[in-house]
Amino acid sequence: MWSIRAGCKQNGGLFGAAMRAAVTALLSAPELDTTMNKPDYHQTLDVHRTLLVLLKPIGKSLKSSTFARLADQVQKAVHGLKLSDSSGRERPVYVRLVNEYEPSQNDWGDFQTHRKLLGLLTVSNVTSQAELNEICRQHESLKVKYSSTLFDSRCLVLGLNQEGHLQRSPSINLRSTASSPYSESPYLSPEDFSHSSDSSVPTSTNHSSVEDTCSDATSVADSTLTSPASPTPPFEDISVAEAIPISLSIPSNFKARALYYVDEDAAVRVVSDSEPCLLDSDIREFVSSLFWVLEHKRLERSREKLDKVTLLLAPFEKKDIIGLDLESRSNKRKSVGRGTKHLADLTLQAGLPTEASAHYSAAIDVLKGANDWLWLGSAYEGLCAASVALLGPDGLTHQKGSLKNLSAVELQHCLSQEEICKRYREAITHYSKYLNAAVMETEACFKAARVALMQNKKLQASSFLQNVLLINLNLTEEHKIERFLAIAELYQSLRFHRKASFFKRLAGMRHVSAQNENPDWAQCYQLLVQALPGLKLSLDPKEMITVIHKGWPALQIQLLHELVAASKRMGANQVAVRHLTFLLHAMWPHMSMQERKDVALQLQAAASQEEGAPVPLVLPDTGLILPPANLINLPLVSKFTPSPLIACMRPQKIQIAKVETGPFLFTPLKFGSLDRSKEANSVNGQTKLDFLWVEGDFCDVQVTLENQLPIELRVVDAKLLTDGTVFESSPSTLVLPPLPNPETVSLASNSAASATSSIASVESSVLHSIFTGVPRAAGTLNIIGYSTHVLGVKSNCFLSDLAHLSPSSQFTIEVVPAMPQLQITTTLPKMVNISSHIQDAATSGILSVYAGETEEVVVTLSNISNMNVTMLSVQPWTKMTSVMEREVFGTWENKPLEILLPIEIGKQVKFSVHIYGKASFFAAPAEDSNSLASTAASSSLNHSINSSKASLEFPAKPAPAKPITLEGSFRIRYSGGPGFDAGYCRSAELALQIVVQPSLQIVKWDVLAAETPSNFYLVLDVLNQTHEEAELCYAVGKSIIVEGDEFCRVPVPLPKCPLELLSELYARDAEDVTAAVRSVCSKHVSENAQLRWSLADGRKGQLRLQGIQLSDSMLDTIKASPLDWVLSVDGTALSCEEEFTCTAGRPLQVLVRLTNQLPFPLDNVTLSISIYQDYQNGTRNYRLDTRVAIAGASTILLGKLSKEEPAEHSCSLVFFTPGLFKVDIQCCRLGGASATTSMWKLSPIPQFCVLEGD
Amino acid sequence: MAVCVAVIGKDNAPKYVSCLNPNMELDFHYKVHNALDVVEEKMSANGKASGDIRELYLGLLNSTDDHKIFGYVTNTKIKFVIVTESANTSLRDNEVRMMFRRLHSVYADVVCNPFYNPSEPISSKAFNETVRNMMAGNL
Repeated sequence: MWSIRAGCKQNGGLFGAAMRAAVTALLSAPELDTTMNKPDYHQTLDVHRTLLVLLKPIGKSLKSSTFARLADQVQKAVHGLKLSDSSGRERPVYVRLVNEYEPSQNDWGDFQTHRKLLGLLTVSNVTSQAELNEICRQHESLKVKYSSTLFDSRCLVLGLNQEGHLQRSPSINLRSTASSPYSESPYLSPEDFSHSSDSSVPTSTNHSSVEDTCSDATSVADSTLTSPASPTPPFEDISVAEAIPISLSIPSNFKARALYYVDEDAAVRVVSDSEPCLLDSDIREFVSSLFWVLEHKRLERSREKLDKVTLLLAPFEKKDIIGLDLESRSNKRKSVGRGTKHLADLTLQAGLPTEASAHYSAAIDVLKGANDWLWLGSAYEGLCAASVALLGPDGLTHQKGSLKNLSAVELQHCLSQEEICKRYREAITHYSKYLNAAVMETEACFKAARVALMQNKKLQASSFLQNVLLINLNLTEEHKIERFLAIAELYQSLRFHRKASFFKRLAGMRHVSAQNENPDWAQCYQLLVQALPGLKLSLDPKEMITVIHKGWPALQIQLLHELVAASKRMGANQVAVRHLTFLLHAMWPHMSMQERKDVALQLQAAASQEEGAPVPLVLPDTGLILPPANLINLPLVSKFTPSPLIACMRPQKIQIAKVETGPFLFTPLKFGSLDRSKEANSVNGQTKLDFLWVEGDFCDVQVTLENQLPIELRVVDAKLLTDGTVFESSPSTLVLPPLPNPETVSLASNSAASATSSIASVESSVLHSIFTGVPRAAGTLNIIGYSTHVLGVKSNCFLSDLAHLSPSSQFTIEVVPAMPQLQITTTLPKMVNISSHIQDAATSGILSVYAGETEEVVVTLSNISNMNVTMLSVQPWTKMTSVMEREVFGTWENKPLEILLPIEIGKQVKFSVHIYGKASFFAAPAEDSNSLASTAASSSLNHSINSSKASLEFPAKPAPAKPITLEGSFRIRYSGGPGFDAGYCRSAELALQIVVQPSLQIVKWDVLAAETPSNFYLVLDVLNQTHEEAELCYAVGKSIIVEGDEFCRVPVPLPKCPLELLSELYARDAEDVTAAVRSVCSKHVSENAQLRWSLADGRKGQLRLQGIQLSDSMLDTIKASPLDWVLSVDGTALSCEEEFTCTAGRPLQVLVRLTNQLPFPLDNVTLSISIYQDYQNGTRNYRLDTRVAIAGASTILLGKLSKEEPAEHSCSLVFFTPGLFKVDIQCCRLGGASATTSMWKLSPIPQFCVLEGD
Repeated sequence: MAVCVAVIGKDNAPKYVSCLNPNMELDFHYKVHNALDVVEEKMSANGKASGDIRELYLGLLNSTDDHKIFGYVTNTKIKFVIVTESANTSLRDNEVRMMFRRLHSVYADVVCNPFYNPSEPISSKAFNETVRNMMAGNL
């Protein structure tokens, strides 16, 4: 057990302890008074005015309930009783009823007369003669026991009628009033009484009812016991003589007065308003008999000469007296003082406080002089009692002004309020000098405390109570407990809750202390529970959070530990578990790491026998309810966030809400009702989450758990707590690693401050986990917390209790109706490292294609849910431009998919996707070589196509092309079942990574005029970037094998770009004509060039020429001429393909006829003819004046040239020398405003082979 | 000199408890806790008594065979409690007052710290040092 000594001695202050010890040793024998060692802790000062009566049930057939009822009635009957004395004064009489009284306690009767037992009341029930005899015997023996002090006795007998007949029917025979001489007047007249009480000799009076016992008449007791004197004087109401057959006879030795009642009802029945019930009147009669004996004794004592009085002694003084000179002056004074004090006691008891106070004052004066401290103390106490009696309860609380009903004479000796406490203090100081008067002192302290309490002098009262603990009393454990409880009770009424609680706890621990032979753990537990409020502890965890319950953690922890131990010993393991749980929960911040660990282990051990459940526990004895305590700190949840479903499972609205298309406008004002409701939600402590969960799907909440204990923590059966729609929470088991480095947590035990700071510095061991579950119905779901099973205790932790988490007390999530689920698989291998933006994809595929290759991917959709899929749509979703997207994925149609629907449960469907390996086929130019295209572009206009022939060497190999990676995905939206009806669908993403390997690439290209004017050749230098042999099919029926990593040059015959495409451009007069023409031609080339390749392994693809760069000279070749040329020499049309042979010196008539093919006329057209010689080495010689002559204009402005009107020009040529000549005939159109010109040439260029003339 | 020094907040929860003998800690907790009853009673009595400048020193709260407990209340209802040994008879009332006054000034220093939250327990080194000195008798 824990230290019970704590503060045990904390009290005193009233009297110096050291002084006390010295005085006690000096004044009294060290021997302890064993005769009277049980103080009555419940006395008030009023006890000094009371007549002590023992009320005792005897016999076996009396029910305890009956006795309780009768006792109650007796108590009522004696309450507030007033009797008139001989002079007609009203005297209040107070009766103190006790159930037990040790005869030894009577010994102190001379010291304080209220301690004498004056009356005896027995209650019994009679059913037979034998029982009656037994009862009579017991009554008599009780009388003998207290014979030294007893004034009178009554025996209340139930079950007999008035005549002493055995009565079985309760309906008849109340005692007839006529038969009793006392029933006419319940009170004895003073005359009557004086008559009876005059006789000090017993049994001689005819009033046998007034039992004739005097204080010193021990002989009487003997006689009552031994002499079987004949009973029943003539008017005794017990009439044995008249006994009828069922009547019972009173045993002859029974001398007490018996009162017969048919039953308890008869005794307490009120016949009429004016008359009290039988019992009342009987009891009053009994009390008055006591009173008159007392009054008699008082008068007797007051008449005695003070000098003659024998010395009264307290019990322990008796043996000290031997050898003392009784006649000494001091002794005389003592005996006078004590006698006066005794008289004062009697006077007070007889209801005369004024006289009593005077007597006490006199006694005090005498005793002070005699140095008789014990009796002086008693006299002071008596004076206080008399003063309190005089002042009355009002007088104690109010100021003197309210005591107007008392005359100055009456108050002459009365103490004032302040004096009462002062005198009482003195009295106690005097008592404390005697070890044997410890009981007196204890009782005096309690009485004084009560008086001080009535006066509302709390500090005084407290100091009196503190003194109690200093008194050295040899008490049994039981009495000690009683003492602590009495102190606790008084402190409670003083509103000293802390002290009350302290003593409650002390009393509780006494029940189980080592000295206690029969420990009572249940009692201990009860008292410990009562001590809780004083320490500001509540067993309700909810209340502990509030500021009101902010007490002393160290003490609270100890008390809880004690509660745990007590409940364990009680055998209430469940309760112990609850308390341990509560301790861990409520005292967590105040405990050191080691303490936490210890408590946790203790809890684990206790809970291993019996599990703790989060339900209120009702304690069997008291009905005290222990509310559930939940371990929210074990483990500590530091993050709690419901997470949306994974992307491919996430529900979406099929109808996407109208997307705002207008210009982007920002406003800080929120107008939407949606926003407002959101805010309202968060104000209520609820967080409405902006995602949806689906019925039947596994949904989860992400949690971060922290273990704050240095031991491994096993969390079993962790579940979510929800309300709203049905939610099936799936339990999970987690194991949290222990806190690292527990020894770093050195907790300075004296300060909670260092505790918190050092704990904060320790790194917690954290576990990220999820709580999962499945919603079983659509609707609104509230997540309100979680439940765990830790250390054998089940806890329900509500978010509202987890203040550290977030302000929201619950999460609200909308659950949509069930939807089917598709599993998506492809024929492709999956991606290994998935880039971030496609992380959410349902599945992925990686595809490797050669540039220009088209691959088919088969996508398989398997319905793995339990409902049909009735809606399906697939859409490519990329970051590419739409053109690019279309090229890679082709144009996507959803229509063909619809025939796949519905996808039934467990079935799977397939569809295929074609993916084109899109890449540029033009090799990046190698650094050290000029691209053909670039040289062509930079060459001058009249630098003709022949430039390609300038180098027949293949260009240097460009750098090997790297594979290109394209990323894209397909969005597969599908739905079915109730979710479809509710307008929801799922959207799964199929992410694709397309690696485009280089295949064949074009390194250089050029154009060559073909044999016919309508065609030309596109000459390509193709590089095979693969390592395999590839066959390139470049025209119908024409193919070539290209070795891996090798070049080859292919001429691709193509038609010229038709005039229809270009005609429009010519009409325009803009500057960008050339660029437009270039793009048109480029497009024409790429569309018409059908290049296909196939590899040895059968893979094949296209080689597309999109984006081919064409220089101006190439354009000239590619473009179809808008003019139709007819050249005739000497009247015969000249076909340009063949040479025209002629002889030198002979003039040739050349006629050029031009026809405009365009739909609009051309202006400012100039036709020019020039002749040159091509040396086949890149130089052309135009200076041919000596070799040829032109007769006629070589250049002519034709003006307007329209379709209907062909233009003609003719001239004559004369070649002087033989040779090969070329005639360049070209047509220029000067641009209107700008200097740009359009130029057309006759192509192919006519050649004249001039031979030697004849 | 002092064997235990305690500072108690206005909600009667401890803010600082330190005692000479760490083994007796719980004992002193009980003693000081129980003394609070008297402090409260004295405070309510004082409150009623007069409107003049309040005497902060409450005097002897409790005395036992072993210890004497003294109390002091600031105007903001922060209570200081000092426990001394009863055997130490040389200690005068004036000295106890001095200790309280010193304690009060050190406490004021603690509260002046802008980083100190008045609802928290005191963990100031300087404060601790002064209290230690007080208990060692080096005043």
